[in-house]
Amino acid sequence: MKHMSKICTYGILVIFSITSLFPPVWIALTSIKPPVEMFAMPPCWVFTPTLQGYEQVLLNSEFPRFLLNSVIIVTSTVLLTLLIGSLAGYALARFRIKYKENLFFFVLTSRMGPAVVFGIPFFLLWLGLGLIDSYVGMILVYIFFNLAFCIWMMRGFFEEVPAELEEAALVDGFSRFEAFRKITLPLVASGLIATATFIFILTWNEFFYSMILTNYAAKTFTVQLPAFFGAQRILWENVTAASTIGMLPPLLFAILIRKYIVRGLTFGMVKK
Amino acid sequence: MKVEFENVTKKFDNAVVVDNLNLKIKSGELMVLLGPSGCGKTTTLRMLAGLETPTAGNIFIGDNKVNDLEPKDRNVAMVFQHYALYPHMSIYDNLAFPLIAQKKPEEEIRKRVREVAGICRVENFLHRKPKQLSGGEQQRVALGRAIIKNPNVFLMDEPLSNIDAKLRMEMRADLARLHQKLKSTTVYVTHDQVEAMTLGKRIAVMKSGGLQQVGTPKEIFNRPANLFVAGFVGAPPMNMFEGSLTEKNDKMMIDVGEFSYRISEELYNLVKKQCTTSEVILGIRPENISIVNKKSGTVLARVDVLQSIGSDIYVYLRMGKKSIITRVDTSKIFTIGEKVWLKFNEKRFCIFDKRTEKIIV
Repeated sequence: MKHMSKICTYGILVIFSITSLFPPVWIALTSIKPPVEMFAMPPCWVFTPTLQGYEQVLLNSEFPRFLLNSVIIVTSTVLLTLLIGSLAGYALARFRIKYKENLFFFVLTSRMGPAVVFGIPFFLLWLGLGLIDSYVGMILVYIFFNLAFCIWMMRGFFEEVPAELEEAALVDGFSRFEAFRKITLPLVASGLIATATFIFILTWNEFFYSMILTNYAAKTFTVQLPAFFGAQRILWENVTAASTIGMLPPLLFAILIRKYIVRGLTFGMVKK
Repeated sequence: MKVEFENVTKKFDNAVVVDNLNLKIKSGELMVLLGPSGCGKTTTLRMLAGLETPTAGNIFIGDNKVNDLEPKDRNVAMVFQHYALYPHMSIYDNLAFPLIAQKKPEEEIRKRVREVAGICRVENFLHRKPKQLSGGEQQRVALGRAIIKNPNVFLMDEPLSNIDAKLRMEMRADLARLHQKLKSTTVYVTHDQVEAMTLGKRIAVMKSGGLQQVGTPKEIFNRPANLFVAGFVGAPPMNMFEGSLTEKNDKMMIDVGEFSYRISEELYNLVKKQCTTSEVILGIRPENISIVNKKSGTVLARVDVLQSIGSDIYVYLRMGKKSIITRVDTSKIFTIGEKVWLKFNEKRFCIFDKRTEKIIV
């Protein structure tokens, strides 16, 4: 019985790993295949690798520019959302605020409609404000969409830190801000990083808003990918190379901080 | 430094948590705030620490009005119920934290931490994290963190309630010793009346935000100001009998239904004069009821339950519908159902006005 359940557990994990790893691995493999072997059936596993796609994408297209746009927009979004969201989450966790729960629910409603619903209103608003195709416009939109999630996560993390600890710091002779910085912040660091990761990945992969609100100057790399779908043929080697490059930053980010992510996700699950 | 609460009221929304509190704590005194949970004692302490702002009234530390001072500017130290040690810092850093706030030089910090760690017997754990220490050790660190800054006032919020019984006794002695040594003004909050009686130079008993009585442990025990204090302080609690003053054939009595107890004319007149009605409540502490042989006894009762606590036996007696508790030493042997005679120590009677619930004698 025990063996059976172990086999089942591993079986499920293996199937899950294969299904989630298959697409990125397939894309990465395809990106270094010569075009003729890309769609060979059965798939050919032995081939002479080529970096032709990467050369095209990195040296002979504007892809690097849009990749840089993505980096700038996403990094700014992550930092600003964390700043605003963690302050708001802190306030919701700590202070006595009238109609607090209603306010909190109102914040959450910003994520209750599908993103498409807000598309046209945002487009018209941004058009009026002159924010179309600008970094500021994109960052603002992404902050709007991530803030609710960030506040919700950070409120939970702050509530895990006993208020007594901050009060102890206050009595020990620190100001409220110092108490926050020296006591609370280090204790929610893993939560902060976990939240940052989620926001990073969600924003990095965002396509719809970038497509309708940008044109060139603030266009992100996700929107550039379909640009390789040419009139005569789809440049698969370019699409797969660009996709592979695009997958790298979140992957690197996740590997660097995976220790914190796990801790962040299990934060508060251990009885104190 | 002395501490004074002057007409202090605290409301949360519309709930009054502390109601017009007036309390003076002398310099160097250990004052215990005693009361059941929700009586406002912790809120009172937090207002003194600066963690809550009074809705009305003034708080003084020394001669300074501190209402508008930040906690950091009050030079008070607080020991919290759950220790509140900083989990990400070593014991050394925990102890040094208040001195870092004061921007003391490194050398002095190191010296003070060693010194305080010695006083609190935690010098062997300085490099450890709080989680690696037992409850008692953590509490000693918390105490050390309070001592280290030489505060004007020590504030302690039920510091022993999370520690097991044996250790609590030790820590209580430690605290008493520490207070004798440092002689600093201390405000100690607890709901444990034994702790209050053993630690406090004076005790302030609170209920529903209001101060019920302030006095030495002896005063509180022997002459509780009202029914609440009488019932709250003392274990097992005081026996209460509802009764009325009667006069039969020139004999002055308190008639409680199950029995009438004859009292002196002097006492009778005193009670009669001060009581708003003739309805009184007679309070007798278990310690003031003795079980005697027939001749000297005054009231007959039946043994209902026996509880031995090792050193003493609590005897629960039945008298008609009334239940009485008394405390006898273990040399006496009773059987359940046995009929016994009780004798009361009249000098220690507490007589309360039933309407106002205040003490008369």
